[in-house]
Amino acid sequence: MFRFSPGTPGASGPVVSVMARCLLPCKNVCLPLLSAPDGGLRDPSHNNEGSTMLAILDYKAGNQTSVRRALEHLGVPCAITADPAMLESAAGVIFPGVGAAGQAMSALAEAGLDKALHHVARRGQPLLGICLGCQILLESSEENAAKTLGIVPGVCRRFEDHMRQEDGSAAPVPHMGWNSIEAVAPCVLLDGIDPASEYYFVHSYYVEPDPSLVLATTTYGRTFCSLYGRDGLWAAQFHPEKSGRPGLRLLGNFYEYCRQSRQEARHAQ
Amino acid sequence: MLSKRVIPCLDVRNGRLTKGVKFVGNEDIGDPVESARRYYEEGADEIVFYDITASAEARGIFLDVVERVAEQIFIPFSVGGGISSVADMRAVLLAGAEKVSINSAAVKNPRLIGDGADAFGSQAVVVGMDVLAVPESPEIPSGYEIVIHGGRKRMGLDAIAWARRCQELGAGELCVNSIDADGTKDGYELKLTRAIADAVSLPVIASGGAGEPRHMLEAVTGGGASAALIASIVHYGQYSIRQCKEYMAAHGARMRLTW
Repeated sequence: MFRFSPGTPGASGPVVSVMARCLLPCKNVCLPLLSAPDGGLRDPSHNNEGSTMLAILDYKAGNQTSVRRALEHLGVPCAITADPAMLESAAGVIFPGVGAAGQAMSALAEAGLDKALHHVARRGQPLLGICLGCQILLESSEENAAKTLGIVPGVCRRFEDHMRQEDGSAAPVPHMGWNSIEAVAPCVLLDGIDPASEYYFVHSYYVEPDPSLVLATTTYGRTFCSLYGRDGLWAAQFHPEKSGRPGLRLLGNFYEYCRQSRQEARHAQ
Repeated sequence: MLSKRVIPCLDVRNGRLTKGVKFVGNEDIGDPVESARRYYEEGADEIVFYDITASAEARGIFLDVVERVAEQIFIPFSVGGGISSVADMRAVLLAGAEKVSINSAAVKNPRLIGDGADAFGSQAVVVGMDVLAVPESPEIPSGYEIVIHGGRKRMGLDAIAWARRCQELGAGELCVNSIDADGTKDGYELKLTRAIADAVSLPVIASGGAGEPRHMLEAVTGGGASAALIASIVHYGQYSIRQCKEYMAAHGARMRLTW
């Protein structure tokens, strides 16, 4: 079975100039599961202590406040934080993001948060990446030719120019607006959500994670992965915090997963 | 495939919702936060707020409205009116808006478009353009001229040329408002919308003139727009947003109908 593990990021993709923020494409670099030296060391013991709070990773991402507001609306205890202790004690971590991959990686590295994210993944702490966060969990991005976190095998690619939508109309980049997702594998994050629901997207790059991780796809000019993950590590290309009720439900489902894993860990003691 | 968007527009004056006809005679029609929440519940795909006061103290009230909106609605919304610097943009984005809409300030200082796009990304920068139909001339070959100050000042700038320039400068979207059609409820100026949509590869929002759902359908079909901006058609309860969207979907437009 595939395990997420922090590993050596793979080769970086070709350089592409950027204009809109929130990017990432991927092409299939079928990395043999990024086997890291400590691959799969998902230590559930972190769940023994700490709160049922969600931590929103603070690296000044444009949408972190929107994510907080959405969680507060749901009554989910949460905090925007870069404090390692708070990240570690949280029931789960949300990794937001809007902007360019290169800048985001610099901001994360400066604050030491790249390592913190690797630790979150290694501990098996539930993690949800959103938009740029979804993109830079992978190994590299064509945006800024950035080497990214490499927590999940895959890459991020830029949409081609001059794409067409299904009805023949132009599909300019960025892909911005409401679009549907088609589930290709079951995912608890989508529990209770009408499959006809649409989600709000804003991105110029799309993700190509390891194919075994793709949970849902979306079509705009091409069909790309819009939700990926497994076992408590998930990432959405769209913005659940701006996708109305279906998006709120997805965030609520993530919280419910985090809360239950924590309870199970306590009972297991 | 992307859905076409329906975007109610809320004009805010001193923290209250107003709706003017041809930019004059504004009247108080309610609380903008309450209206925004209602439209969110009814299926609006996005919401636009325009601050039409622009005095310094009313600005604080307006930003407070933006923050309260952000706490209650979980779809994208944009903010326009009184934005003339990157600092102004930052203030509304921090208050919770996804996008800023700049209009007169962009005409006077086109660099603002690129500066905004560099700072926040093109997707956050909407250029609103107020357009007046004029006789075709060497200066205005399309017969559509950019005006500012709510239509009171003509700029000698061709709307098609300006749209292309906005795209080059980094705008993410164009909101094309026909001064002639605004407030008439006779339908959008489709020829204008189409001409702009054909001239750029950016999403175009049609604005001004919606009086019934059929007009909105026309905007996103023949008009080539990605979105239809509406105001009085929903502000006075004549139609609900759901009714508008269902009508459009029933006539072949791809719409978001589940929310």
